[in-house]
Formats: sequence, C-alpha cells, structure tokens
Amino acid sequence: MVFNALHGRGGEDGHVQAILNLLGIPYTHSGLLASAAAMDKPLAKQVFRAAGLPVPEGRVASREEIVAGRVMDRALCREADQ
Amino acid sequence: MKPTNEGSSVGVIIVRQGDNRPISVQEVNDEMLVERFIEGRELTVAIMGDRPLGSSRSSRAAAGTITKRNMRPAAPNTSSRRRSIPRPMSKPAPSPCRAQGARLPRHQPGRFSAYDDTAGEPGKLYLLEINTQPGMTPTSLVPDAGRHFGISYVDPRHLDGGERDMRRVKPAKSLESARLLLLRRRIQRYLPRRPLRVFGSLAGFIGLAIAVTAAADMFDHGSRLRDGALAATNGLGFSVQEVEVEGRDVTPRDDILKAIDAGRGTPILGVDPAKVKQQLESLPWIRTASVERHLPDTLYIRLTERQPLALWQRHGKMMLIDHDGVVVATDHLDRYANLLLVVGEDAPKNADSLIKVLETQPELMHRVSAAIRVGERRWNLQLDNAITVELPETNIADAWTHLAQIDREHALLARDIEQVDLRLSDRGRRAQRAGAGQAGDRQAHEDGGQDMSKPVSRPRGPLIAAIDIGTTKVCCFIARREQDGHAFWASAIRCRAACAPGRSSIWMRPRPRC
Repeated sequence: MVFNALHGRGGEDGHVQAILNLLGIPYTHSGLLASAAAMDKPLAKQVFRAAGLPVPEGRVASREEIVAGRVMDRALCREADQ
Repeated sequence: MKPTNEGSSVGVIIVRQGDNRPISVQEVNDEMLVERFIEGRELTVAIMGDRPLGSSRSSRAAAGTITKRNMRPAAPNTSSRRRSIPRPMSKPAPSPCRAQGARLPRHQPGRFSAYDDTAGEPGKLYLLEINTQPGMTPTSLVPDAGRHFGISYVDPRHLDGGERDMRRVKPAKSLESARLLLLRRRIQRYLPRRPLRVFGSLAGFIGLAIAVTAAADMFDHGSRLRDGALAATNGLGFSVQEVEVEGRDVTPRDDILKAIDAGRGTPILGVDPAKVKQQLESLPWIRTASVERHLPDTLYIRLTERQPLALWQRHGKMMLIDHDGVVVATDHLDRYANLLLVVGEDAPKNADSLIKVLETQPELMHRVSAAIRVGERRWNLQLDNAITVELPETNIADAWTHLAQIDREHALLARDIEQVDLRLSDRGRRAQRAGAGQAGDRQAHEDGGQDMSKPVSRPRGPLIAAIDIGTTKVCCFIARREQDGHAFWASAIRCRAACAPGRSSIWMRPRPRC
C-alpha cells in the first residue's frame, strides 16, 4: 500500500496514480480519474455541472482576452459586490 | 481568475470593485478560468470513501474581513487557521453542503470546498473546487474533520508505529520486477542478495543422491559421513543463502542472526530447526518461534514477539513485563512510559488479570497511575489525583464496575476524598443483616478514627448509609439494598476533614455530598 503524500504536478494530477494502477498497488487518496479530472479546472467544473452541482458562472479565457479586459460582462462583477 | 492547472491558489487574481489596475501579460497564464467572485465564507467537506465527514469552515474567512478569500496561502499547513467542525451555521446549510459532497463520484476521497454566498444567514452554496489530494499533516483539515467523527489520526511518518523510518524503495527496471520487489519486501530479508548458483531443481536432487551415496561409500562413521554429505550438498547449492523472518517488530536483527548462527553458505541440511527455535525463544522479546528449512537455500522463521503489558517497579527499578508476567529486557523503557505501573513482588503474574478487569471501564482505567499489590492478596490503585482505591481480593470486576457507576452518577472521584474502600462488599452483606449502624461503627473502628459523634444510620429506600464524623476525618459508608434483602454493593469513603461536623444532611441524601 502506498501512502500518497505527494502534492502538485506528478503527485496529484494522476501520473503517480496511473503508475500505481499499472503496478496494481493500492494507494491512499483519490484515484486516477478523479486526480486527472480535478487537476484541469475547466474540466472539473464541467463534471460538477453535469452532476447537477452549482458552480460559479465563468469561462475559460486566453491571455490576450484578459489583457484586453473583455472577459466577462461587467454587470456580473458589479452585481456580486452589491 | 485562476490558472486552469495550478493548485493551492497559485496565480489567482481577484478583481474587486473599483480595481482599475490593468492586468499585465506576465501576471496571467496562457489560459485562465475566469469566474464571478463569490462573497461569503469558505466551507470544506472532507470525504472518506463515500462518507462525508461534516463540513468545516476556516475562521480566517470571517465575514466582511477578507479581501482575498480565494488566496489561500500556498503552504496552509501552519496551525494558525482555526476551524470549527461541524460548521456552526444555522440549520439547513450543512446538510446540502454535505449532501453535495456525497454526490461526487464514488470512491474518490478528497476534500471539496464550497462558498456560501452570504455572510451569516444560509444562502446558496457554490462548489468551488475539489482537492483530490488533501494534506494529512496533524494540522490539516481532513484529519481534523476525521477526528471529530471518531477517526483517529496516525502521523503517516509513523504508520509502522514509529519503530522504523519508512524505507526508500529502489526503482525497479520493469513493472514485473517492481511488483515482485514489493511482494518480496513484505517479508524481511536479512542476508544481502547474491545470485544463486544455478542448478535445475531436478539436476540438483539427482546430484544430491549421488553425492550422498558416494559419501556413504567413502566414510564409515556417523559424524564424518554427515560432514562429508553436508559438504557435498553444500557444493550443490543446498546452503543458506537467505533468512526470511516474519513477525519481527522489536527484536534487533543482529540478535536474530546470532541466535540462528548459520551464516551465508552454511549447509542448510546441517541446520537443526529445533535448536534454532530454542535459541530464538531464549531471546528476551521472543515468545514463540517456528523455524522451517525451505530447500534449497532459505531458512524461514516465523516469530511471535512478546507484547509489553505493564511497567514493574521493583527495588526502585523499572522493568517491562508482558502478559505472562515475564520481564522483557529493553533499552527503550521510555517508549513504554504510558503503560500501567505495577508494584509488588507478585505483581507481574497478577497484572494481566487485573488489567483485563480495569480495561472494562476505559475512562476509569485511564486515570489509574499505579497498581500496588498489598499483602500478596489484593490490589490498591493509585489514581492520578492521589485517591487510593482499595480493591477486594475477589470479585474485582464487580467492585470496579461499581466504582465506575458511582463515579458516573455522583462524580465521586472528583471530590475531595483520599480513599475509596471497595473491600466491604462482604462486610456490607453482614452489615446489612446486623444493621448499617454497626457496620459504620466497625469501619470507623478499623480506621482508628476517633469517635467524636455517634455513628448514625438510617435505612431509607434502597440506600443504607452510615457516617462517622471525626476531628480530622469523615468516614462514610454506603450500601444499597437489593430486592432479595442483600446489600448489592457497599463502599467506605474517607474524606479529609471534610464537611462541617454536625451537618447531618450529608447522609440523608442519596448522593454523598462533601
């Protein structure tokens, strides 16, 4: 049994989990699918939404879009602060 | 805004109202997840298997004071964060929060955080993130939540009980060999590996047969024949190459090797399992040993080690004893400091039965700091607050249960008393027949207490009480009458110069008040 205390890339993004799956060694914490899906935030969010869980509205934006400053409707931001 | 593939709030940017600073190219990754900022407090649900372990809230996130709520410090393992578990919030919120936790894909233990969108009253919950690899340090959230739900915490560094450091596993060359390696590591190997001489097993046995026959021809008497045969088998690869030991925890490996006394290359057929067993069992920590020869080259040993039971104080020295009352030599007495201390010549052989009884009342057992053998007949227990409990010779279990019961009902042991005498159950029966007053009298007499006021007694309801108020001590005798007319239990409690003399209310109430 592996006590997986690793964090960050490699340790919690499914890599180590995949290797341990291949070796057939049981390990602590989350499995390959959950680890890999959760590491990619937009994907995790899609999964949550598909499961009917409420998530904050938002979207993925490229660097150019962000620097240009037109990512989300401004009214949304203001509303949150009222 | 948060990077799509970072964790621990690395690279998170929060844009608040009135924040007009342009965002620079360096600040953002190629791709960012941009979300509405949710005002509120952060709730975390730890999930173990399918089981949500309640929700907790970082008190850092007190409403209205946090400007960078999403910016959790990258190293959140310092204990500065206070948490409250379960979250102290008005009714409906925790359950949906936990229910949502339980709706996550099965068998994915982890932690997920949600924000409640209001500061104070329950509002809508938003699922913010899932942490599939929550920290497991003593101050981490998940162990904290687990503790609340009765799951004890073991520091991962001490998963094996702290006896050894965790081993570093050497990288294997292939998957197959890695699996094999891990399998083999479950059995400790004490001799370094070296390639075996290569012999097909069939060829080896044929060779052995020839060698023995040849040896029989060459030598004519016993030991020389044996030596020759052994030398021949040894040459064929029937020699000790490995020693496998199972069940070793505390015995030093060198002691085991010394007891086996068969180094690498010793003819394995010359090793006498019975003798090795005997030698192993003479080691202090080993209770039983079984020894097998796994031909051609392995000695397989299975050990049962002694389980430390208590500390024995004798002539001012401390010794470790096991369940059989055998003294176990150890250099690390400090590791066993939490064991019960027993005192008295015949304490070791009686300790096991005593501790079995004491353990039936765990809270009370916890308070016993020492057990002292009196007159090789019975035990006195020393409690942590200096109360002495005198146990009877027989029926310790009943007396102990009885004490636990009075303590639960009347918080007896929290009172200012010196001694609880549980030896009186026999006398109690006698006393009950003879009248409780006499019993109190006799008890006072035995204690040598001065009879300042007359002992008084009054059977009332199922309780019988007698009290003797002296100048320095108050002695109180209590018994309960059962349906059949016998006293069910009885005890004498001696208090330090306790209540003001003359306050007879002390015994008129069913609860002894001092």
